[in-house]
Amino acid sequence: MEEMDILQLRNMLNKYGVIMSFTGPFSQGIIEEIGSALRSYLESKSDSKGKIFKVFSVFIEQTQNIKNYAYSLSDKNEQEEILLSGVLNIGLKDKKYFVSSGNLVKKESVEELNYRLKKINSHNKKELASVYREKLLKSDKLKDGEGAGLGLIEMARKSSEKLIFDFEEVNESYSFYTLTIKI
Amino acid sequence: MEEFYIEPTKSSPEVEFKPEENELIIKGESYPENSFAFYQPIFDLIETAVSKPDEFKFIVEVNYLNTSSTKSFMNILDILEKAYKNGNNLVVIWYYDEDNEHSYELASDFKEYLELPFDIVAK
Repeated sequence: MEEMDILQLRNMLNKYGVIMSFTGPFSQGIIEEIGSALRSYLESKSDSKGKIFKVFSVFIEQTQNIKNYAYSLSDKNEQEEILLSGVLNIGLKDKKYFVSSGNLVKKESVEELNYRLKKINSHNKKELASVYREKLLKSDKLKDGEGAGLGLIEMARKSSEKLIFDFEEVNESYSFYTLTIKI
Repeated sequence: MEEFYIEPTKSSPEVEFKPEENELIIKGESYPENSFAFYQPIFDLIETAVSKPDEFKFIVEVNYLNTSSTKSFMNILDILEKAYKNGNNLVVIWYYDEDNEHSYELASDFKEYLELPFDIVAK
């Protein structure tokens, strides 16, 4: 078996401006630790508190979305497979921070997710604010993971560009979903 | 009513209810793993507190809420708004961080939806 070339991996991360990279199952503890490290890093770069919170908030919504999606599935093996597939990169390229995530999604989830992402991208900031408000006020029934729809809208509101997303078929059950937000 | 206290963690705020003052304080950041489970006892507490006509104070010092915590806060404020419209005497005091523009936005976004007395104060 060929050994993994860590230097090549490092060079690749460098090339894309990645500051932090994580792959594996996101536990709440890991999310909190990476979140703290991220904030300390951004503070050391003397970014404004507003900007730090934007990047942090997108990071939290991204990671919690992956977890919520996994736990929305009833099959334990599928949950695990999806959680294990998570990849998250935070970086700085062309003077913009980015938070990029990737994870497996069930093929049958792709159509709806793709539709929602496209719809979000069709809105300008003002429209996004009113969609956000509408969703927020429709809070008569609170359930776990229900914030997920709100999460994507919130990320789009914080993003300086449109959401960048893609789905790539992996096998007969799964596609790999990537989402990048630039701040 | 009895005293109620939740210790803060990295991802969940400190919550304190003072029965003598009929005052609820939420302080810290909120992005817990399961925010609806976290806030459910707080919803229940507020429902009980506003079931009596005594003056009620909700004091908030929170700079960051993830989206599901935001939904939970909306739920809390909904309960208070209903009580206010029923004639309860209550007030929300929200402290924000002057150095963080999102901190003020967070408070003013909520205030916009509500008619109850809602003071936004720099800390």
